[in-house]
Formats: sequence, structure tokens, C-alpha cells
Amino acid sequence: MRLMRSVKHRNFSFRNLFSHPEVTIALVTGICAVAFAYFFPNFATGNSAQVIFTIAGTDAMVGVGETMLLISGELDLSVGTVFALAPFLMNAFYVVGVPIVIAFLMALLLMGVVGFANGYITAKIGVPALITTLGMFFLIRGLTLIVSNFHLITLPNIEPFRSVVGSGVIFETLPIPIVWAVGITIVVALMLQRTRHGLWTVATGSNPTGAGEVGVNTVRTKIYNFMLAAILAGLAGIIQAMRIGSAEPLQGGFDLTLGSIAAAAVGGTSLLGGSGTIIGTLIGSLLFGIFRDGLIIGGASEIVYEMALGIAVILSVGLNVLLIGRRGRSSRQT
Amino acid sequence: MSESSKSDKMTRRQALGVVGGLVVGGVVGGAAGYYAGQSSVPVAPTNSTMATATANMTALPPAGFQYGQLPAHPNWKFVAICHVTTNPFFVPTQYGIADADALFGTTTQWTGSENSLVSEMVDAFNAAIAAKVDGIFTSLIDPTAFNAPTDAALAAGIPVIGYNADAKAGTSVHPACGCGKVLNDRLSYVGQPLYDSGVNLGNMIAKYITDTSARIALFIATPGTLNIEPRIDGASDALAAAGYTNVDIVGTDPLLDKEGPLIDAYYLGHKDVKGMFAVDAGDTSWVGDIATKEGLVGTVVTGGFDLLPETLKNIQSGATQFTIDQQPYLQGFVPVQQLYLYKLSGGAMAPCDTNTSLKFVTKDNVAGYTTPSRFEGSTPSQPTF
Amino acid sequence: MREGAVVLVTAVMIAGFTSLNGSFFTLANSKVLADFVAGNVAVAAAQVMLMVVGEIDLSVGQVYALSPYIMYLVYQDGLGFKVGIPVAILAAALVGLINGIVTVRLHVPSLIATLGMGFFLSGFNIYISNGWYQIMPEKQPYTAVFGGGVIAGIDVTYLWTAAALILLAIVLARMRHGIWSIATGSNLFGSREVGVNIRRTKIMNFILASVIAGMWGIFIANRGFTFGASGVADPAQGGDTLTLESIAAAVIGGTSLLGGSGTIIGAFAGSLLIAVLQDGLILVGAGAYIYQTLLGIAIIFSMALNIQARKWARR
Repeated sequence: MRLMRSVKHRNFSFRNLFSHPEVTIALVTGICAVAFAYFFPNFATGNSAQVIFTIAGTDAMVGVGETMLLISGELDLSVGTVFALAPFLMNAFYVVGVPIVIAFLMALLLMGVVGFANGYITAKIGVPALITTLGMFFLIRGLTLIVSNFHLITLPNIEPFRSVVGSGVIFETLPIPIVWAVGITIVVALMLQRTRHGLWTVATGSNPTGAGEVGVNTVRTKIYNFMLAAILAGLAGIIQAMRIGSAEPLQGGFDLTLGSIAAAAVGGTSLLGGSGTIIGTLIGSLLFGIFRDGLIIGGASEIVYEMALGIAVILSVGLNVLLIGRRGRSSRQT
Repeated sequence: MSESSKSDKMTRRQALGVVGGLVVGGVVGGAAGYYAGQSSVPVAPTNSTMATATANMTALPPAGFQYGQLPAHPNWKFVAICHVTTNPFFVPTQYGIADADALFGTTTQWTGSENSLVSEMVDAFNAAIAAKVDGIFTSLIDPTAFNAPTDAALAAGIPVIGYNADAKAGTSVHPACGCGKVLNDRLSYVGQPLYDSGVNLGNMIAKYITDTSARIALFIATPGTLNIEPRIDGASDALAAAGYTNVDIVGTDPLLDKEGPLIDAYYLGHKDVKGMFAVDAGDTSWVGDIATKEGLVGTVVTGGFDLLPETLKNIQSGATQFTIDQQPYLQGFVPVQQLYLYKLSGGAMAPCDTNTSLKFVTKDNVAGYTTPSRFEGSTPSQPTF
Repeated sequence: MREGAVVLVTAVMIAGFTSLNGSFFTLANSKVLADFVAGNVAVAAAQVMLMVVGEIDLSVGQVYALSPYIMYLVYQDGLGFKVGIPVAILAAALVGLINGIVTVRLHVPSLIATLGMGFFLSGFNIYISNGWYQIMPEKQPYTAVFGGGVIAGIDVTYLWTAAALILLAIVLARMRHGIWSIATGSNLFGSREVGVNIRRTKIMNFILASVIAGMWGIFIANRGFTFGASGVADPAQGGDTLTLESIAAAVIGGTSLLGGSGTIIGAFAGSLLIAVLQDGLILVGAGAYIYQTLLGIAIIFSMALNIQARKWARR
């Protein structure tokens, strides 16, 4: 992980600039945005921006949690189903009389419990994260289906809660999801750079044994990050559900999980742990939002979108890898 | 030192090369998309009022006027939003759209979500509004999610039509609404609501199996997905209302080749079942196959939805008693037609609700379905006479 | 035995289901179970081969649909299955090659590379097929050999599956490619130093995974012929569900994404556990509601049990 402020102490050069993954992905994102705006004038409108920010906001929130986990050397596949469960729990509390804000916080708390379970089973008992969170994915999905009885539920339309947590739009262009996402990005990025937890996260991811030896509590660090990921996923799920007006049992899902990992990778986070950037994940989510919005405005059919997305994902990560020389432990030798 | 500067140069060159490649790629890709997607420069849709449109008409046709020709008009762009964009059920819908586009000189974009994710559909809807398209039609699989976008589109002068699924209370659990009340401001609805088609299935089952205590199985491939869950709701509600007490709702699997063994497993565990029905195409084709395999033809009634070739074969052989054809071709053709007339007449020709209804395909009328047809999706070829 | 916990959990489930409904423990039901397992155990074994070298393939579900459809298209062009089947398998191999090169040469993590390939292929499959499935023509002997036939009462697919599992197990345990795979996964730098060709090993496993996915896609497409129905070339066959299940089976069976360890028997055990769970729940009438939940619990529980057991053994 490179701290942006360290650039001041080195001679400025393009190589140094491009060694920050955030710069690379911001450049790619900027080029894409300009290209789309040039060919499709309607892309550069307030409405279009709202669509981009809505998509990006949701993905980024989940992605930020996933990024912290990736940096610490772990992975969470269950975020996609935690995303779906949270709004149902919130609604369940609400209908028995709990005030909506308390219900909201209780749902997030329960997601934290899920995250704790993920973390404990992975870091303390030693089940590999892939297995724990894959199992949790199914388990939470099953619980969601049971709690929802397979049906979508229309959520209560309570203002100002709904505007603040879901459907509000600021300055005609910024939907609330992106405001949350940017806020969360700033807070978590600062946490990564300035707090002991952030330092320990990086240490745990880059050298778990060594870190343990110098007194880093790797188990606790990982558990906290699992909890953070689950809470952020639950928050994103509630925000989306409030925006749409309904909670659906199958929203999010494996696609959301993979999308959040892809946003992190595109943004410059290494999937092998030890380095990553929260801001990069936000920009990566923006790129995917631009892509989706731009292609729809451009008239592309679903087929074209799928094929283009596949190529774009590979190219953007490949580009990052190429420019930074951050090739990961195993492939550095190949 | 020279080594590191060599790698410096390579990095920078590589960087510039890749960035340059990206720009070129972006330009080429964008240009290709641009030219592919447009046949003429679209005219920004004005708030056409009847006055504007009729002002361009004259009382008598000019000399040499030929009746029946399409008037010249801008290449209107419509967007069709579907909840399962790659589902074969909607292949004939896309053919219907293509035929209507060719007939009326319009262009319709097919987008939405692959897995019934409402958020993706809403995002696509809002992107279409941002793109200032000339018309939108979408399946309304959620009672509230599309209401704000629909209102925004209408306010921007973009007509909106609902098809396939309708945002009516009773199509999902919605305690706050009275039954039958429509929640969305779409100008019209084209289709046969999912819930209602399920009710039709339930009523049909009651005709074949008159013993209300008989064990009946309803199979659904993916419980909870918004495109088929309402069907099974309708069926089980209809059967419950008719007094059937022994109805099992069984979830199978999205994988076609697993559905069969799962249905078989159900039978092995419940050998007293009198009827096996399904609400999705795959399970429907399998209930007939399992009935054949286990020697249940004649003693167990089977039926379901859609027209997979295996299902049609089972109807011919008597292993399956009926299936439901929901005429998806019309669900694509009619919305385009309605939007076209709306734009052409400046809003005077308001879109009208269309019940594309459903047909029960039984041994009596299955013969008409066995040849490949563009209208059923089994071939892109147009009919010849 | 690492797979011990999995086998134990499976055995407990079999006993439990049988006690709830005797029909579970019948020959008819074991054929149902075999159908389940045959469909995805080979793909699970292919994932094991990749996870052993520290990689993963998220595009297997799409290749599973791609190959049979390409086979059908070539046949429709008049070239027959004689050409169609090799072309279909070559197409799968090409996908694997691309996955391998992008991962190994361009250094894109395989999670991302195969994810992108999966997206691309899902669009591509719809593109070449117009979204519609086709009835597989019954062109003997090809459709029979490749999934549609029955020999001495046993589906051809079972024979192919058994052969593949045995072959892969032998490769992994005894042959150079297998040993190199394990070495690559467990100790990259060390194996490089003793002369293991890391790149070639990994790329070969990618190709292997895609070829297996493609071939078993063809077998399943032709499976209808085994019980008097027709085969179907379905562009939506397999998909994300198959990918997810193959990974679940591999990890339940004890294979770790960190690489260096994994067994084919484990893939089989994992596949069997999932099959028993899903089949049993429907048979006893529980089906829709709790399958997913129980699957999740089963995954976590069997692995946790595994690890606890190892810890106790070490004490």
C-alpha cells in the first residue's frame, strides 16, 4: 500500500504517478467517460449521472468492505446474500413495532454478528475463508428465503428515513447511495491509513506470521474486517431496498459478490492480500457504473453488454497489473 | 542502474502504449457502437401535442397520394426492459419486437436484467430516460419500484407501457392495497399477468383432478424469483380456494438436468401423488418424462407452462395433459405498435390494455405447434405461403 | 483421511433420510443420486485440478453450454458430428488456453480472468443461438457414445465420469503433471528451482478444466436419449449454478484455494454430499425451504469438523 502523501517526498515522474493504482484507474475511468460522452451526448446529462452514481454507490459500499478484507488476506463470498437479508430483518423488526431507525440499526447489528461468525470460523477455527463464506452464502440465502417466504416485501415509505437511506437526490445529480459510498470510502480510507487497525490490516495481509510475531493480533484484525464487510453489505442492501421500495429475497447474490471483488481488483487491490486501495475500489465501481449506463444509452443490447463487460473486466485489471508491476507473489516469478 | 532505467523506459513506453491502445480501442468501439445503433440522427422528441401533429396534416391528400404507405417519420427509439433478458420465453417476444420495428420503421433496444433483479431494471429504465428515448415498455415485476421512474418518464414526455407482468395488487404480497388496484401510471398493459396465469393453471388442475384430498405437487425451479413465483402463488391460491388440502409446493433446481432427477425423487418419496404440475418450462417438460419413466401415464395427471419441444412431445404421447401458451410474440409486437401509433398521432392514439390471454395446448390442438415457428421462437424464419 | 468428515456427514444424512422415508435407500433412488453426481462431479474434479495450482475457473458453467451448441452448429452446417465434436472440444480447449494465458502471462488473477471470460461467453452463447435451444439430432453412433447411450443398463455418462475420475486421480497422484501441479500450488519458488515448468502446468490445467466442462456439457446435452426423450442443445445449460456447485463440491471435498492440496476423491465426496442433501430433502418432502440453509451449514460444518479433528489428532 502506498500512501498518496508520500509522493511529495519523491521526484515527480510519470512512473511514480502511475505506480499509484488510483491514478491508473481514474485515468481509464475518465477516458471512458469522455468517450461515452462524445459519442452519446445524452450520456453527459444529470439523469445519466444519477444512474451511474446509483449503480456505483451500491457496488462501492460492498466493495469497500471487501477491499479491507482482501488487504488483510481474506475473502468474503457471503456479502451478496447478507445484502439481501438485511432489509428483511429491518422490516421484521419494524412490523412488530420497533421504530424504523432502531430497526435499521438492529439489522446492521445482526449483520455484524454474521460477520463475526465468518471471522471467527475463518481466523480462529481455521476454516479457509473461501469455504466459510461460501457456506455462509448459502446459509444466509436460505434464511432470507425462509424469512421472506419466497416473496418480495414492500418496505414502509417513511420519510425522512426513506430519503436519507435510499431515494434522496442531492443537487439534482447525486443520489443518496453515492453520498453514502463516498462518505464510507473516506472514513475507511482514513481508517486504513491512520489507525492501528489499518496498519495491522496491511501487516496481517502481507506477512501474517511476521505480523503475529511483532504483536499484531491477526485474528482480531480479521474478525473486525469480516464484521465491517458484512455491516457494509447489509447497509448497501437496505439502501437499495429503500430506494426501490421493496426487499427481494434474491437481490444481490453471487453477481454482487463477484462484482465487488472485481471492483476492488480493477481499482488496484491485490487479491493476494497485503496491498490495496479503498479509493481505487470507489473509482472501479464508478467505471462499472459508467460502462453500464453508457452502453444502455448507446443502444447496446444485453448480449453486447455481457460480452463487452467480460472484456472490460479483464482489460482493466490487466492494465492495472501491467502499469504498476504489482504482479502478486506467485506470478512475479513467471 | 542502467537496468532499472531500461525497465523505466519499458514501463513508460508500455504505459503510453497501453493507454494509447485503450484510447484507440475506446474510439473504435464507441464509433462502432454509435454507427451500429443509429441509422439516422435521432430527432429529440418534442412534447408533441395533437395541435402540432395535426397542423402538419392537410384536409385533402395531395395529387398522386398513395394510401396505406407509412408516413415519413423520425427513427423513433424505444427501449424494452425485461426481467429475464436471456430467457427463451422472451425469444418470440424479441421476434415480435423486430417484426414491429421493421414494419413501422422504429428501433427497439432490448435490455434489463438477466436474473429478475429489479434494481438492474430500474437502472436501465432511468438510463433510458436519460437517453431521451421515444418510448419505454417494461415488465412490472415489482409493485412499487417502477412507479417513480414511470412518473419521471411521463413527465419528460416519454410514453410508458407495461407488459408481461403488471404492478397490480394481488400479484405479490401487498397488504396496504385493495385487490385489483393498479399502482403504476403506465399508459397501458399488454399481457397476461403472472399471478392470473397461475390461477388459470390452478383452475385447470381442478378440472382434471376432482378429488380435493388428492396429493398434488406443484414444482418450481427457482422459488423466490419474480418471474415465476407469482405463477405458483396463483395456482396454490386457486387450489386452496377450491378446497384442495393436499398440495405440495416443491422447489427443484435451476439446472435443467437436475430438475428431472429431483422430480423423480419427489415421486419416490410420495408415491400416492395424483398430479404433478410445474410453473416453469423445464420442470413442465420433466413431469411428463418422469411420468413416462415411472409408468404413471394414465394414472397421474401432469401439466404446466410453455412449449419446450419435450413438453409438446409428451402431450402428443399422452404423458402430459396440457401446457400453457402465453403468446409471448404479441407481448413484443403490440407494445411497439402502440408506442408507434402514440408517437405518430401526437398522443391522440392512446395505448390500450391488451389481454394476450393464454391458450391451453392439449392433445386436441398440439398438432399446430409441432412445426418450428417464429411466433413460438423455435425458428427465426418467417412463414411462407 | 481428509475426506473423512465429509463422508461421515454424508453417511449421517443418508441414515437420517432413510429413517424419515424408506424410499431413500432404494435402487431407484440411487440411480437418481447417480444422475445428480454424474452431471457435475467431473467439473468439480476439474476445479480441483485448478485449485491445486492455486487458480480457479469461473467460466466452466458457460463452456458447459458452449460446446454442445457449437457441436450442433457444425452439424447443421452439414459437416456432421464427426467434425462437430472435435470442433466443440477444440473450442473449449481454446477457452481454457485463453484463460491460462491471461492468468499466467498477463498476470490477471484467475478469479478475474475467468469471471470476464464467463461474462463474455454468456453473451456469446446467446448470440450464436439467438437464445433458443435446439433439439439434438439423433445421429448414431455419435450421440450415443457422447452421452446418449446405455451399455448394459448403465448410462454412458457414468462410464465416462468414472473413467475421468480414475484418470485424474492417477494423474494427480502419480504422473508428472499431477506432481508438478501440487508442487506449483504448494511451493512456487521451490518448484521453479527444481525445474518445474510453472507456466505450462497452470495453462494445461486451465485447458483441462475447460475441456472437461465442454465434454460433460455435450454428455448432458445428449442425456435425453438415454430415456427415450431427445437431446437438447441449450445455450443456457449449466451457467452460474453449475460453476458455483462445482466450486462448492471441490471445497467441501477438502480442496483449498491456497493450492497445493486437493483430491479427486474429495470432489466426489463433495458432489455426493450435495446430491444426497438435495435429493433427500425433496424425497422426504422438505425441499424448497431449507435446502440452501442446510447446504451452507453442511459446508461449514464438515470443514470445521475436519480441522478440529486434525487439531485433536495432533495433540
